Amino acid sequence: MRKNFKKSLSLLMATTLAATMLIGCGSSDKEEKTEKSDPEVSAEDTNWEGASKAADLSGKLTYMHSGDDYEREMYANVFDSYMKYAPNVEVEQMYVPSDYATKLQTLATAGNLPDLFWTSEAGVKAYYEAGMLSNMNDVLEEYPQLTEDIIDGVMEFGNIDGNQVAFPKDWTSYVMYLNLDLFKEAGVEAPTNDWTVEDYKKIAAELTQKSGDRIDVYGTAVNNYRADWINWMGNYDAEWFKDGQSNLSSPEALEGLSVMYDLIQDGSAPSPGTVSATGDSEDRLFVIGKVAMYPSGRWVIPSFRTECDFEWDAVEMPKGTTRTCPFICSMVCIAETSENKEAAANLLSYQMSDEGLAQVMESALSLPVYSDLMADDKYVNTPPSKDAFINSAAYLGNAPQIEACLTGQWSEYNSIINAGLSDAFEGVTTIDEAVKKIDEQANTTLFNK
Amino acid sequence: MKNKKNSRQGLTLKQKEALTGYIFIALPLVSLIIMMYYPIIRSFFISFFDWNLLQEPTFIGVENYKTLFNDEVFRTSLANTIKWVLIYVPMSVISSFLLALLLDRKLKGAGFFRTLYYLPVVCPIVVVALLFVWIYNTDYGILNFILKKLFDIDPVGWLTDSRFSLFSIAVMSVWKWAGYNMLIFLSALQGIDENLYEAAAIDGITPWTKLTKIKIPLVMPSIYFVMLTAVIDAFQMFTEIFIMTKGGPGYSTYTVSYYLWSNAFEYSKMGYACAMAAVMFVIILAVTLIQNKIMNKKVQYDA
Repeated sequence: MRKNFKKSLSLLMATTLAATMLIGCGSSDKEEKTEKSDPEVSAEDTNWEGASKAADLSGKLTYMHSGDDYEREMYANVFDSYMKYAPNVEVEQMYVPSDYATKLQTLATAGNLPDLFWTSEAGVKAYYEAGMLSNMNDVLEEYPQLTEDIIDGVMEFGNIDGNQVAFPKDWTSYVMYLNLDLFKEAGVEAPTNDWTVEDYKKIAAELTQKSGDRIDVYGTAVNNYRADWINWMGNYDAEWFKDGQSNLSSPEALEGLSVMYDLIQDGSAPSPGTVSATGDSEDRLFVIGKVAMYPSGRWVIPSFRTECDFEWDAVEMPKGTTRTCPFICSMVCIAETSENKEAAANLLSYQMSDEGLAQVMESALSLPVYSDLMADDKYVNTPPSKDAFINSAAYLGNAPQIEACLTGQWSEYNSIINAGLSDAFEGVTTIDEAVKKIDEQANTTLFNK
Repeated sequence: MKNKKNSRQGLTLKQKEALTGYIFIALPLVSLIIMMYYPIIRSFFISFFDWNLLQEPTFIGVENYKTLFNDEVFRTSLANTIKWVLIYVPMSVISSFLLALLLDRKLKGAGFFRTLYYLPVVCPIVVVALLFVWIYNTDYGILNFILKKLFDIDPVGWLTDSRFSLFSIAVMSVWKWAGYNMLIFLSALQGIDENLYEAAAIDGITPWTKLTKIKIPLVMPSIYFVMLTAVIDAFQMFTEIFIMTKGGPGYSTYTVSYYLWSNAFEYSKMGYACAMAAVMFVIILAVTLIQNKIMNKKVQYDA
C-alpha cells in the first residue's frame, strides 16, 4: 500500500514537472515573435528622425526613472507612443518612486543595470568611472536632432573627457513665485524681471506680516537646498568651487549666501529648520498663503496650478552683480551592458523629439533643452508667465557647479554645505563662521588640501 | 534497552534524538549564519577596502580606521550617541519602572491603563515621530503654547535649537517605548510571592523599604535585561533622527548610525561605513561586558 502511494506520488511529481516544462516551452514559443509587426504610425506622419529605423528594431528595453505618480503616467504614455513606431520593441518601465539612487546603485552592483536610466547631474561621474555608461558620441551623430537648437551649457554635465555619456532630458529654471493677492493686500507693487537683490530684500520686509511676536505671513522663504545657494552665489559671480577646492568663503560667495542669511535674521523668511521641524516644506507655506515670495524650480507648477486659490505669477530671480541659473536635471544614460543599444538610442531620440517632449512638457514639471521649443506655448505653457523661464535660459549653467559635480564627491560636499549653512540659518554660528568651517572641513576631508 | 543500536536504522535512540534536535535547529542556525554572522564578518572584511559599490574594492589596510579617528563629524556623532545613551537609558528605565509600580496595584481598570500605556508601542515610529514634530513646533506646537500660557516662557525651538534637539527626541523615544519595558517590569513585579509582602507587613515594613528591599532586588533580572537591551538599542538609534531632524540642525543630532547610513548610501563609501560599524560593534560589546560584570553581582535570580 505504502509502496503504491510512493509510486503514485513520484508519478504525480514527474507529470507535474513535465507539464510545467511544457507550459514553460509553450509560453516561450508564444513570446518569440516569428513575424514582425508593422508600425501603427508611419514615419511619414512625423518629423522625428528615428521613425523609419524604429520600425526595423526589435527586442526588449528596460527604462528606469524616478518621479511622482504623475511622471510615471507621463512616461508610460511616451513609451506607448514609441511602441507605435517600434511595434517589435517592448519597453519595460521601471518606475522607482523613492530612494532612487540607492536602488540604481544596487542594480549596478549586481550587474543588472537597465538599458536606459536616469541619474542626477552629480551622479554621472561615478557610473562613468566604473565603465558602466555607454558613449553616446555615435548616437549624437546618428540622430542630429538630439543636439539641434540645444541650449548652451546643458550638455556639459554629461560630458566627461570628451565623451557624451549622459543626455540632459530636460532642465528647470530657478525663478521667484509671487502670491499677487498678498502683494495687493500689503499695497506693494509686484516686481518685474529687472528687479535687484536690494529690491527683493525691501519687498520681503514690506510683505512680512506680524501680530505681536508671531509672524503670520513671511515675505519670502529660504531653502537650504543646492539650487538656492548655487543661485545666490552665482548671482554675485562667485567662484565658490575653484581649482578643486571649496571656496565658499570668497567675498562674492559670502555676499550671495548673506542674502539668504540676512532674510532669516531680519525675520523676512523662516529658517529652513523651523519649516522642516513642522514636517512641512517652504512650497507648502506658499500654497497656504504663509509665504509671499518663494524661490523654486518649475517642478512646483503642477501643484501650484491645482492648489493655489489665489492669483500668482513668477519673475526671474533678483539680480545681484550678475545672474546665474543653477542646472538641476536628471540625465538619461545608456548602460554599457545593454544588449540592445541601438533600440535604446532610438528610444532616447524619440523621448527627446518634438513629439516625445510634447507629452512630457505638458505637465510643466520642467523645460525643454531646445531653444526653439522654449518659445513654443505647447512646451512652455502658462500660468505663470513664461518670460522668466525663457530669459533664464540665457544665463543657465554654473562653472563651479560643473567642476564640483565632476569631483565625484558632490554628495558629501553637498551635505557639508547643508550642515554648515544650517548652523548659520538656525543661529548657531554667523554666516562668516559657517563658510570658513565649510571650506576647512570640505578641503581637509574631501579635497585633501 | 533504550540506547541499544537499532539494527535497521543503524542509530541508537539517543543518536536519533540528537539528530532530530539538530534538524530542528538547522534552519534557524543556517539562517542566523547567512543573515547575521556572515554579514558581520564580511562587513569587517570590507572595512579594509575603499569601495564605492560601483567599482572593484581596493585594499587600503587600516586607512578607513585612521580616517575615522580624525573625522570630526564621526567624533561629533559618537559624542551625540553617548549623550543619547546617557539621556535615554536612565529616563526609559526609570519611567517604565514607575509606570509598572503604579499598575502593580489592585486598581480598578488596570487592564485599561495597561493597554493605554502600551498603545504607543504598537504605533508605527513614523506616526509617533510626526506627531511629536507637531507637538514640538516652535510657532504652533502645543508644548510651547502650554509653556507660554502657564509660565509665560518664550517659544523654544525644541527640534531646531541644537541645545534641545537631542533631548527632545529622547523624550519622544521614552514615551514611545515606555509601555514595552513597563510590561516586562510589571510581569516581574506580579511574579513576586505575596507571602513575602505579608511577612514584611507583619514586621511593620514601610512602603519605601518594601520597594528597596523586596521589589527592586527581586525584579533585578528584569532591570538587568531592560537596561542591557535599552543600551544596545540606544547605541543603534537611527529612525527617529532620520524622520525628525535628518541629523540637524548642523550636526547636532548626528548619531553614529545616521552617519554610517549617510556614508554607505549617500556618499557611497561602503568601506568607511563598515569601519564605523566595526568600531560600533566593539564599543557596544565592551559596554555590554562592563554592564554584565557590574549588574551580574546585583542580580538575584531566585526569590
